[in-house]
Amino acid sequence: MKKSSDQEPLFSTDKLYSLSKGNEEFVKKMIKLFIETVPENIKKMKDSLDSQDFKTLKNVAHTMKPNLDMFDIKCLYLPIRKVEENAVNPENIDALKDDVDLVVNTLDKVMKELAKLC
Amino acid sequence: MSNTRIFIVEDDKFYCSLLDHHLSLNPDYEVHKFSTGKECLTNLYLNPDVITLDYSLPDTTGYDILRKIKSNNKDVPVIIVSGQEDVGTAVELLKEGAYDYIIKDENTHSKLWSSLIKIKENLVLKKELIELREEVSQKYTFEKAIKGNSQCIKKIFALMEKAAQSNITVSVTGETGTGKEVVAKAIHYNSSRSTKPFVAVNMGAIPKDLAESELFGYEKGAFTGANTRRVGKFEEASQGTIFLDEIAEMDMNLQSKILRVIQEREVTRVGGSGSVKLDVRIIVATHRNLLEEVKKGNFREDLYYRLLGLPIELPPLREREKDVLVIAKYFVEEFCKQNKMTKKHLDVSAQEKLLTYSFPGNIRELKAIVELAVVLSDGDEISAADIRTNPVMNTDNLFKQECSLREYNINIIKYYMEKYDNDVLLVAQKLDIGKSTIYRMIKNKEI
Repeated sequence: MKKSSDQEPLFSTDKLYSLSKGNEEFVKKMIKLFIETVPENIKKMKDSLDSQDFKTLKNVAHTMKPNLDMFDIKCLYLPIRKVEENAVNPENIDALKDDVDLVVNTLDKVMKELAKLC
Repeated sequence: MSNTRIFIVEDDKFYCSLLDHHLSLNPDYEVHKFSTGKECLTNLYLNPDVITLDYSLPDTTGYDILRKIKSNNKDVPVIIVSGQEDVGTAVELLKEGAYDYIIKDENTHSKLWSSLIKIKENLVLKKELIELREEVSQKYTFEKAIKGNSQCIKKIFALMEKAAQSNITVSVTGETGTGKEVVAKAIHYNSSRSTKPFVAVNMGAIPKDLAESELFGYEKGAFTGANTRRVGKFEEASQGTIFLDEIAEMDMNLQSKILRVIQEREVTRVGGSGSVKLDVRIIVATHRNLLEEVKKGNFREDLYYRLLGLPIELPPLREREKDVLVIAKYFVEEFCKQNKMTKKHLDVSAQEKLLTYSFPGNIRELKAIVELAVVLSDGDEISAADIRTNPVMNTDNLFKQECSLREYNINIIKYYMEKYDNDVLLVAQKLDIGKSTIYRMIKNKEI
């Protein structure tokens, strides 16, 4: 379990270990895949927010949601859902932007930590 | 059973790999991964056993692809795996024919696993059903279902052939035990409907009050005790054949309802408001003379003409020349096989006895007589003594053929000897003849 600066767990690979019945090779493969795919999604998220393409933003959040849950990134549990929900009909774009930033920044940290495990 | 071929349709590489890994833990699962709806559709020729479908795909919607998959093969189970926690969407997709709707969360894998186990069990059952239907279909090829090579039975084969080639209503008549249901089954299993259900209903055995709900089904709450909706026999036979046996036993009220169903080709369940379209082939049977019943006012004339269709009149066994021996030999063989007995044969005396009996109970009676004879016989041969016919019934045979007075005398004495267990004194007393007459006939092997 990795901890963030305020000592809250940032992510966990427990679910992956449990799912693979302790298969370390598989867990490493999935971490690599996560690190490979997340930047693309982050870029899509940023671009769609900039161009106010909210449909794409919603779809990216929707796709990312279960993957973030798989790594048990608790601090993103609500923000990613808020992005998905609020992107349908955004009333407060600033709040939406804050949530997107939080997701992007947190994932950046998570990926750096995850890269150390491979 | 061969491998279960599973399509994973998922655009997210990470989640797709997770599912793939999880499902591949079962060596019986053959997993194919696709990232778009289009890829999935172009590979449907591989005949997947199950499809897990992500609701949100880049090139299409869950609804759209589900509809396309179902229009290609309506039987393939599709499990929607979605991040959408929306009950309305789930209900709509299930209505559209999805097998299951699983939310992407930490329990997805175990839910998917359980769903697949259920699907696999269903697939095994379906496969067994198809095999059994094929087996039954083989059993009901005309020559296997109906034994005999008499002229009259050959004519029946020709009619059955014609009946099997079309959807015409067939009315089968004949004495009890002549094999009316066997004929109905043989027509069904040799027709284009052979892979669909054959539903037999004995109209004489359904209580009057239950007939309507039994035949047409009922809606939940239609009457006290109707806790769930139930489809009736007509709907059960959808795309197949319904066999209405003992059709003459229906009361007038039910006759008018059946007439409506046949005319409109739709049923309305008891307590229901809408009607359900029917695609059912109808075969009816009766041991009565339906036209006579019409004349007596017991059967509706309009229904009679609706049901008449292609009439097949089954001859009684006594009119089927030497078919009785063909059938008897078949029953002997089958009974020995079923009871793991050594093969037995009908000797000449047994064959002669069978040929001279009238079989008022037709094939059903012949079967019972033959099976008893197999059990009673010692050794490999079945003799006349093992054939226990009903002596009272045998008098019908007395005048079957024209005989001389002397031959009639012999037949009468033979009949009495059988009836009274070869008690010469008693027979002589009953017929008021001298016992020496009987002894002489025995000595001359006349009886």
